[in-house]
Amino acid sequence: MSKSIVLPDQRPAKDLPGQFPTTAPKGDSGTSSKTKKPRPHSGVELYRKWWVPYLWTAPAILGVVYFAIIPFVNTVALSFTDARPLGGVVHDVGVANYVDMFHDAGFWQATGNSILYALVAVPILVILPLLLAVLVLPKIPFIGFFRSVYYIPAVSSTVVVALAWQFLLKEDGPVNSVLLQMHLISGPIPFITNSWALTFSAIALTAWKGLGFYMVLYIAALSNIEGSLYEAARTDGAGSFRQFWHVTLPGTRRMMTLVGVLAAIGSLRVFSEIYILGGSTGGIGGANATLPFYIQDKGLSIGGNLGYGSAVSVFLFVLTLGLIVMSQRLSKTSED
Amino acid sequence: MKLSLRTKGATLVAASMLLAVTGCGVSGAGTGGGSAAAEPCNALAAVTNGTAVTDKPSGEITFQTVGLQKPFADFFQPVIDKFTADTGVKVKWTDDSGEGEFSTRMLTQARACSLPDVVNINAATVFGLNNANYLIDWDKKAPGTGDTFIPAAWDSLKGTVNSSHPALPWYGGLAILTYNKDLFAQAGLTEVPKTVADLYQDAVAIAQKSGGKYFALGANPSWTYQSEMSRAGVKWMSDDHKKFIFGDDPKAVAYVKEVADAYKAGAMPKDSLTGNPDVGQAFNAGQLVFGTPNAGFLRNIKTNNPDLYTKTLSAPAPHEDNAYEPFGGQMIAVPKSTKNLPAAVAFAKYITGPDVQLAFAKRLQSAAMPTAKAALEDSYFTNADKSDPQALAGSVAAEAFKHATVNTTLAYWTPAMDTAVIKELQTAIAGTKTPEQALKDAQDEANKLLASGS
Repeated sequence: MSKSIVLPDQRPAKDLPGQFPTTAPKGDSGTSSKTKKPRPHSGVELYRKWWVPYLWTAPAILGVVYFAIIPFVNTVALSFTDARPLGGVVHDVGVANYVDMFHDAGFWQATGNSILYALVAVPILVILPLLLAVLVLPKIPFIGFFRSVYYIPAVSSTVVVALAWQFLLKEDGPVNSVLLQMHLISGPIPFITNSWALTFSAIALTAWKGLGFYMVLYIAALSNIEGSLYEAARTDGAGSFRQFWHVTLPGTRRMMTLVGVLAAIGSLRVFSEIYILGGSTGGIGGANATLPFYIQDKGLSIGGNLGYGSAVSVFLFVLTLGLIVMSQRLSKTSED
Repeated sequence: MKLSLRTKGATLVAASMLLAVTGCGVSGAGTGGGSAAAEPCNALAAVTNGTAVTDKPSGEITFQTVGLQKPFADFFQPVIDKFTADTGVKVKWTDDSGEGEFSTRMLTQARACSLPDVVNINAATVFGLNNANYLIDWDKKAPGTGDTFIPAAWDSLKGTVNSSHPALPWYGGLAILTYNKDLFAQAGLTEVPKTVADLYQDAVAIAQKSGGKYFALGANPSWTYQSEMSRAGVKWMSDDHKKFIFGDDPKAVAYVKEVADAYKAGAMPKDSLTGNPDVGQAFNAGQLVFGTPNAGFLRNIKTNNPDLYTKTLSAPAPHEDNAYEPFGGQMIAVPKSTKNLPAAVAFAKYITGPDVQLAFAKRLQSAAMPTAKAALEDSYFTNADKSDPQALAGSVAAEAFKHATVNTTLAYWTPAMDTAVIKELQTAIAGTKTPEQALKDAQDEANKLLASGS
């Protein structure tokens, strides 16, 4: 059994001003103190008060409460009513909206579309940006230019990007023209008018637009992997793939979980891509409408049923939460 | 008692949640309270009482238009300045682009009691706001105002809930037929279609002749189905306005079948079924025989494609005998949240009056037709130079206005119903449902929404 050696830089550090205390302040340890310390007015002691961190984070907390918690609680409350967007008499309808929701074919169609969207888009958005980050990580001439170019879609307006894609994917658009001229297809692919093709076109658009943002996250994660690990792997005879598999992937696993969660949330909230590519109905007959589309359609228009829309919103929240929990469980399992 | 850091944090979060719950219950900011008949926005007694406005206008008001400030500031600013000079009322003019979720923005403004004193809105928004009791009743506040307008327009704005006339009709544009005479001839056509059935038969003929090089028209039914079904003689509602009956009408089934057949024959670009309902861009690119069915788009053609402009002709919109398009257009309303009712009423009457409407129609070169009777009878429309495409379109549009019928479904038709019907029509046109089934499903959904007040 080896003895644990405490190195000088592993000793408990003294708390510095502006840092959260790493050691419990004297007199606040739960043991009785006979001598009461004088009340601090400034300096390090003031920062040791339990409420100081909350004071600093209060603006952010208030923002979250006002813009997230209140609307969320309000949405939950609304989901048990027959509220309308323009007010009027509001009746408590109990769980009627939820019961109606589960008997609504349009709701299930939208749920299926949202889940399909997430199931396809999330793995793409977890893996492709990682590969791209590996590609642009080496410090070679003009790599900054390429990183910037890959990041451009992330800062472009979704509406503008979707309009450009709509033009590209038209039956007589450039994509079909090129494929036809190369004799790869015998007739134009109905990217916009076929329900499946539209779904995958929209997913491709989401993936293309998210690629740059997630690439930047991965670059940060890759930069934190010790170079010595790669050196050791090379010494052991590992090729590029094995280095990626045994060093890069484990080193970015936590970031992959984060990207997965962010991509899942983004995929379940997708609206603009479907709206622009598939029109205001969400594809022919609304066949490609996702849950946000359905909420907008049912709950927010003039004369809409806000209570019902809120019930669908709560369901979307639970679905998103479920996906996040699932991805974290999966991540934890793979770490174990 | 000593509390751990975690306990203190949890207490703080719980307190925030409690604050959230107590600060915004069901009757709070979220759902609103009171009854439908209750007056919203702490409306002034002068607004809510049943007496007509008699006070002299003064003070300041706000006026909001839809997509007019940028292109027509040179017209409206002097018009507003004249009102200010005549009455002493200061008017602050704002504009909403009208793009995206316009109705939702209006709804948000209404809920926040921040609608302008005089607001330019569409029919769906008028009746949505009226059903929630947000608009003044013109029959009570300014009796006789309706006499100014053509009956088709004024009677179409008859409210069913709260207010008997919640808005004043402003400018409108009923369907006309516009076409590229070169492509029309190239397709072997010699006579403009007289009925809606003729139009779609011609579309099939164009598809057969063009071989996909050009098309007859766009496929997205969003802008056209109500007008075309009305002109095909379809009856929309039962006489007692209790239910929609359009799905049972054989004329509706025949119409949808004609459109679906034309789509299948290649008379319309396949992508256009869910694409931009305005086909002006495709017409401008020389891809379509028939253009946007209103006189307004000729202004753009004149500017962007002068060569095509000279080849563009207009004709009355195809229709069955005695079947005309019901009124539709832009409205002006005064919300009950106004704090200056006399000035708001005076300005709304002024801006919808025959003088301003006629001047605006002239400025737009007939792209927007006036709803004021006196304006429509002006020689500008009756003696138009028909050799000019735009003037011809204007005179055809003015003629359409004379035939416009009262839109008896306007007060019942909601955006949700519109979306439901468009979705079903798309499936029928794409061939994934039969016209009969699609219309039945559309009617069932519309009746469901009617029953639920949506």
